[in-house]
Formats: sequence, structure tokens, C-alpha cells
Amino acid sequence: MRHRLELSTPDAALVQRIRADGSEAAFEVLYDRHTPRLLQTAWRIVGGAQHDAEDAVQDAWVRAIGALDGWSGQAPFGAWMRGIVVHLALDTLRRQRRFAEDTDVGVVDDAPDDRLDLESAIAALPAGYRAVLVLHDIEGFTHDEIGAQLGITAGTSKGQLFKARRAVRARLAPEPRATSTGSGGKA
Amino acid sequence: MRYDDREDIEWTDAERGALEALPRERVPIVGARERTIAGLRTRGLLGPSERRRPSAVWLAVAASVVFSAGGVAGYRLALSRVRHDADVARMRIASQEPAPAVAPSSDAHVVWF
Repeated sequence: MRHRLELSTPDAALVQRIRADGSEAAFEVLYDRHTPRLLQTAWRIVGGAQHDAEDAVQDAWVRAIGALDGWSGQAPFGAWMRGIVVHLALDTLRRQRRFAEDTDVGVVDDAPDDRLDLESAIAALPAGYRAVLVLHDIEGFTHDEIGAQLGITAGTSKGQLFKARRAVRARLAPEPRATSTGSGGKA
Repeated sequence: MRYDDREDIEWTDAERGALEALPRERVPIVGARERTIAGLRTRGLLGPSERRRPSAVWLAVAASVVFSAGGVAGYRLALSRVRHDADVARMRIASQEPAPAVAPSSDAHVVWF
């Protein structure tokens, strides 16, 4: 009965119980409520690597429960957790040296005829651009917040978002090659 | 090319709709929660398990069921032994009774010379 009641308990009350006596039941409710969203965010940032995403989420929970005093309660708990997950997912990319923010993503000649779905097009982006696009266009982070997470300026974040969007659009609907039209190309 | 030198790219309504339609949640693998809880407990961040600890009431109920079942089984065993002993005694008594006397036949004589 107590467990059922906790399903509707606000995050703040659950956090309070975990702080007070390390309640496993309270943690389970909190975990079940937020993990699916956190996992999807991590999964997109690491480019669809399920194992890396699971590890990032587990590490995020350990870090968060160990530093619950860092949550002020003013921002939603889920948003606070998402910040931690994003940080750890980006760390995973850095450790794997997949985080190359200067990689040019405007080129689609490597797969000119492929028509990918949106999820695949995002996953195919270089890690740095993918992170900016996921954080801004899907997770709703501002450029300032992204800059703080990635250690770049807001202007750089905007530039990367521009390139990422251009690459995704090109991958989703590659323009026909000028040579195939036989018209001699555009003026 | 610097960012300031070019126009921004905005999504079309269709592209924005496709982005918004992307799944926002993903089901974790089986056992992920238990693994996380174990990691937290190892670091002393969670208390002892609450759900898997049986309450005193349930322990008492389980003990009474076991005790009752033991009592019934013992009673049946004892009853079967009593019946068995009674049967054995009855057989012994029956075996100790004298055999019925056989009447000598008068017309079956063998005469040896």
C-alpha cells in the first residue's frame, strides 16, 4: 500500500525520504519515473550506443543520489537529472575520442543516395554536432546552457547547430546531382 | 565560413513536427534498476532493502502453517502405527490358536506287513 501511494508522491518528497533514511522504495519510484527520459537523452547523445547510454544513466543516478543537496528544488528534478546525464554522456564521448567539434558535417557525398530517417540522420552526425542538435532542438537547452555543458561559447554552439541542421536536412533529402540532369547545372 | 556570415537554418513545419514526434523515452534493459540500487548500496547511499524483508506478521503466519502441517502429519503417522500394531497383534493371536482337530478317517487304513 505504501509503495502504491509513493507512485504519486512528488519528486521533492521522494528526495526528502532518500535524504532522511536512504529509502529504497522512494528511490525506485524516482528511478522508474525519470529513467526512460534520461536514457533516451543519453542514447541520442552517444549516437545510439545502448551500453554507453545505460552506463551514463547509472552513473548519473549514483552521482545524483550522492549529491542530492545540490538539487535546490527550484528547478524540476528531471531537468536537474538530465543535466547530469548529458554531462556524463558527453564525458563518454570524450573518453572515446569521438567528440570532434570541428569535423565538417556539411558533406553528404559519402552517401549521396541514401535517404535516412530522422533518428538515423541525427545518429550519423559527428558527436559534437549531434550533441548540440540534440540538446537544442530536442531537449530544449539554450545556447548558453549548451556552451556551459560543452565548454564552448554560445556563438560556437549556434554555429554547430547550423552545420548540424544542414547536414541532417541533406541526409534526409539529398539533392539530385547536377551531372545526372544533363542540363549543364545551375548558373 | 564564420557563423555570422551566413543565414540561419530554421526547420520547416514538417521537419519540426518530425523532431517533436521522436520518442522521448526509452525502456531500460532488464535488471538496470537493480544494478543501480546495488551500486548505490555499495556506496552507502541507500539503506537496507525494505521490500524483500518479510514482516513479523508474515513470519508468524508461516511458522503457524508449518507447525500445523507438522502436527497433522505426526498425528496421521501415529494413527497408522497404532493400526499397524493392532493388525500385527491380531495376526499373532490368530496364529497361536490351536488348529482344528482332524477327524480320523475310518475307512482308509494301510496295513503293513
